[in-house]
Amino acid sequence: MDTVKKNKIVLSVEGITKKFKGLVAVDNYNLQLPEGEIIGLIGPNGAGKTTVFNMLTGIFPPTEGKIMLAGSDITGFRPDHIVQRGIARTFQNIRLFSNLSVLENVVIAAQIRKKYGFISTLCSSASFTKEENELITKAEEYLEALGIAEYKEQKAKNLAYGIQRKLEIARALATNPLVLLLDEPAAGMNPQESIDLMHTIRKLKDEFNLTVILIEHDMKVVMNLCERLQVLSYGKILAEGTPEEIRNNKLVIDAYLGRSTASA
Amino acid sequence: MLSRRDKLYTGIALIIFLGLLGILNNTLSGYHMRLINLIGINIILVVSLNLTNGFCGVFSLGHAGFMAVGAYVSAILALPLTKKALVLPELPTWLGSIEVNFLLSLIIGGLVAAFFALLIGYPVLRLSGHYLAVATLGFLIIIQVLITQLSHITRGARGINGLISYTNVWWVWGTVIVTIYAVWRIVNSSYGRGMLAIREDDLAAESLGINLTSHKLLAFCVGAFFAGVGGALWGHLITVVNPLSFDSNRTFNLVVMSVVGGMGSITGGVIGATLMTIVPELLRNLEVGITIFGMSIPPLYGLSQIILAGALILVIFFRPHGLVGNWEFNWNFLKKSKNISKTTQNL
Ligand SMILES: Nc1ncnc2c1ncn2[C@@H]1O[C@H](COP(=O)(O)OP(=O)(O)OP(=O)(O)O)[C@@H](O)[C@H]1O
Ligand SMILES: [Mg+2]
Repeated sequence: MDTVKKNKIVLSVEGITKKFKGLVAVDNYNLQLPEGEIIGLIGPNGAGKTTVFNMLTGIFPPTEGKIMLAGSDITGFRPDHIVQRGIARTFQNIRLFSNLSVLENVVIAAQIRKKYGFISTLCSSASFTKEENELITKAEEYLEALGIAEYKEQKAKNLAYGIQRKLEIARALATNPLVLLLDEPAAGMNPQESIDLMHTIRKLKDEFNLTVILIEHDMKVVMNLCERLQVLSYGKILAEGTPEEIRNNKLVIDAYLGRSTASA
Repeated sequence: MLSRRDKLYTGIALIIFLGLLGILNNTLSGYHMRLINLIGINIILVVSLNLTNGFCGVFSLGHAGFMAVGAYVSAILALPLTKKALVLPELPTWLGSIEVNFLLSLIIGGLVAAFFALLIGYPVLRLSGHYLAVATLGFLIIIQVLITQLSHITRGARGINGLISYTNVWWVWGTVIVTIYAVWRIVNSSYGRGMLAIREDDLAAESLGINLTSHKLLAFCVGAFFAGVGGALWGHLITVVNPLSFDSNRTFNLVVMSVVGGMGSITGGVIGATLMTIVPELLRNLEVGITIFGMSIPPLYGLSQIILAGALILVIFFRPHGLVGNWEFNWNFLKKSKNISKTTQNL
């Protein structure tokens, strides 16, 4: 808990709630996320985990509550504005630009900070060429960081599933985020791939000074990576604490862990 | 980005092509030159349509509407004052007393078309898929109604005739080069990549910082600009503009050209426009009827339409992404031998 005191809060979420018609998908969700932490968000299917991400990234605004990023209120902002301010994400069901190359996928994310204008584009000015080259170099760095640079010319849709997941992470990273939201990055991976991914995420966190929220069903990954966990059930935070505390929490075992440890 | 070599090749190809056009211009009949100009105009229209429909995935059916705007604006602006007094006596005085040169009238025609795109873009581009297509079709109908109703400016259903035939092979193919260059620059920039991203997955694109509205508007307005210029060239080629020339049929023809060639490719636009301008013209000869060895084959009216429709179905069936798909022309076929020798050296 020392880290909580040392580091300043980068993301602060106060009582966000999402209602879909009659259904309360997320009910009064709170989070104080210190810089540099990896927090895990776990819970049974349909608990509202992805909905929390969707609210944090502006896919839809919360029905109630407030989201503060690095001290400024971003509640109700559009997705493109939110990612510009520093929250990037991956998607539970991969959403790559499937007909574009791996490199293009990442360049599209990296160009979030490009400066050249339309006229420079039309005349192919020196600043245009320079910036474009920089974008490509930068994108290649992210591909290397995830160890997938060799695929850069391939179309995204032709990649193996595990590589696609990594490409989504590379793409999110290329926006240069403060906070990275990973929605089940290990889903569909075999145990060895999951372990590799775990190491990769830890490495990226240090390399890029990231703060991470991780949704994941693979308990090995979650317990190893996260300093703190939140358990969501029927839209509500059921429990919060260190992996050790969560593992021994009676409520959590009944609602979630009991089943998943049995099946694992 | 082009290498120095590619630039050289492109330059040489352009010079050869323009030289060829010059020779053809002096040897071919008026009918054939007109066909060549029509091909050029259709290339302008289809390549610009591809930017919107193919690259950005905003499936618009309003292209003929933007053509109409450009054609009318340019026609009214470029009409000589003496003719204007006769043909359009009811024009507001400020319009009736100006005559601008052809180049300026083309540019203004394009800009006004782009401005219309900006106006309707804001509401319409929020829609997606079929809804957007229907809404842009609605725009096309509104434009036609406006042209018919504003008869003091447009002469209504009668149209404006007696335009000066400014359009020639140099205007047309000069504009073709400008259009291809502009679209190519946009496609190979952050703007174009943003459009591609929107086409592929708009939600993911927005989550990566791409402003959906501004990118779609850009694609829509640039497309409309060149549609306007193309319409203006067309009007001054056939020297008449009337509302019926810019109906949904024309839009559909352009969409067919785009789909046949390949929507997501400049090369596809060029090939689609060229083929679908020439082939119907060739087929039309079938419809006149011929006499062989005393046997007369009667004119088969409508046959060309049937053949064309059949060919279209075949293309869609066997090449659903058009003849070239997303492929773009490049000079790599000239370099191949060099590359191979390089790699063997490395080995
Ligand atoms: N756009 C939406 N419209 C209506 N209901 C929705 C929408 N998105 C999510 N829901 C509902 O909200 C609830 C929470 O869904 P959510 O996807 O957040 O769960 P989750 O915790 O991510 O589950 P999983 O582990 O299966 O991914 C579910 O009942 C879901 O059906
Ligand atoms: Mg989910």
